[in-house]
Amino acid sequence: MYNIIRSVNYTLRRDILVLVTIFAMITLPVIVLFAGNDYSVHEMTGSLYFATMEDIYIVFLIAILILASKCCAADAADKTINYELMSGHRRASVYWSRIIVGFVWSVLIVSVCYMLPIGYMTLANGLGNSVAISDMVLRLSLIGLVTFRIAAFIMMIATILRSPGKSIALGYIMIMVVSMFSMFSEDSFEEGNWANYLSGLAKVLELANFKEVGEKIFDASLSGTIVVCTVVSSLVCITVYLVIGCVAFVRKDRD
Amino acid sequence: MSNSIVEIKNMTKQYGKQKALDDVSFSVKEGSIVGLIGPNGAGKTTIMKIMGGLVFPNDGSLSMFGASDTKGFNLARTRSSFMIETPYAKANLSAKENLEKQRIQMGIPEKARVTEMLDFVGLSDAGKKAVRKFSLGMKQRLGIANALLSKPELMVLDEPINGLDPEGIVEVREMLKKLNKEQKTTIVISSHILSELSLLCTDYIFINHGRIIDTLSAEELAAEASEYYHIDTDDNEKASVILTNTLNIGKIEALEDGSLRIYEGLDRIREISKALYEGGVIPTTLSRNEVNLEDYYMQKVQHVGEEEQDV
Repeated sequence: MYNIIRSVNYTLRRDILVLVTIFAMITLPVIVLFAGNDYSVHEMTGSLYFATMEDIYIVFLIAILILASKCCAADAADKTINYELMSGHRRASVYWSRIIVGFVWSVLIVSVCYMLPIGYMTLANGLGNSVAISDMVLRLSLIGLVTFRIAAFIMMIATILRSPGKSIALGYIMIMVVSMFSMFSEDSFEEGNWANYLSGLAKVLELANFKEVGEKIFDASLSGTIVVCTVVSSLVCITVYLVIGCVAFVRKDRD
Repeated sequence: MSNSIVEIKNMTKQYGKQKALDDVSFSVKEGSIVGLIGPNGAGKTTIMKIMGGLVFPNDGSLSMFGASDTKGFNLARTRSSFMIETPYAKANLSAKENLEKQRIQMGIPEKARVTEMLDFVGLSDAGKKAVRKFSLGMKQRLGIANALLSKPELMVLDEPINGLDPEGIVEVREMLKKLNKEQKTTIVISSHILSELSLLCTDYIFINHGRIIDTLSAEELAAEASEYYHIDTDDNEKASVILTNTLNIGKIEALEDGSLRIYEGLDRIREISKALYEGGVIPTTLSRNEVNLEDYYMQKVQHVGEEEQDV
């Protein structure tokens, strides 16, 4: 398993699309910060950035789509994955190795890139008091967990389709369609809207959306029910997606 | 008696409604070079994929290195290498990077093995050139290097000389012979170039429509090989009548191009020439040949085809 992880990492480090995606994730939030924000860069604190930049997650969603699809389907598309199976590795090991690499490359790297601008702004202008730190940590943790759910969903699709291109396209369409369902339901992306649990993206947008209660002051507190439901729904979805992917990978013939 | 390294019994594989393998049974002896011979879609690649663990059979049993369960197969596959269909490679990586990826994946500790294999297959000059810019022959060489990386005891090669230039074909043939002779590597190989297989294989398995139609060793093939006269004339139909009526030669085969093969009266060349001349037929070709692997294969496939039609 360790050898497969090293081997997949070796390839990903040399993939132009992967490197461009990571570069885009690091630079785009900075561009958005300068180009399209209600607040000037000088007044943007770390917490204010976190409270007002919910739309940037769409960029990270694209990055997750690309990275998770690449991790799970690139070797299947050119059939180099067959070498791993023919070398005597257990099918389950080959699958779970890719899932581990997929989570590291998509969720961890995306999470770091998501938090980097908060770090820059904190270094430049301080953390500020737009959002309470405890609420910010809780929300970031939940966003991270839901991101795992989104990545698991994409990796399931990538494993079944065996093509990064198709997986990115279908993943994007499915995520957007389900999110639109949430959007059309009453109080879209509002806290506690049951429809948001259907879509990982809708849930993230809900968690990244705050009520402004004063000038540059936001209420980021979450009810216990929302926290528990978010954790439970995410864990259930992650398990279901990964098990479906595993069954498809282990039981189906390779072409 | 040699031990069997691979044993397949009553194997059946179905893709949807199409039967790719139908009750296939054969074994591969340790140290042998087995040629899998059959037309496209005969089931050769499916057999190799089952051995490689890419495809699951619907029925039947497989034994590799004495193992017949999943755990045992995985262990057996660490002692084997496979090159199935076109050689798989990362198009954006160089030959060296592709081999390095494979080395890491297989857990081979010696880093020098990569350069050694590149030298061995003549790809050390390819440098940083991406595989996407490789010719088919170069890709084929990379596939062979990949297959040799782990010093396997069993090699399963699907069309390994496809796309190679004549020099490359000879090199691969000699390399496989050397591996077989010096390292006792057992080889299962398929190719459409039957003349090459006949120079390499110790055993042959003929397969058609997913069924084994014949298995024989190189010695058995040599014993089966019969001589014949190949005759082409300006009027082959008339020539056939003359040979039958005048010389009582019964075993005459008309080939697709109209020319004839005579399997009887091989010591009567003077009489044959004279009878044709006196009958007013001018021979344009008259040569004595031996039935080779290609002929044997064609006869077998044709024979099975006729039997199927009769049924």
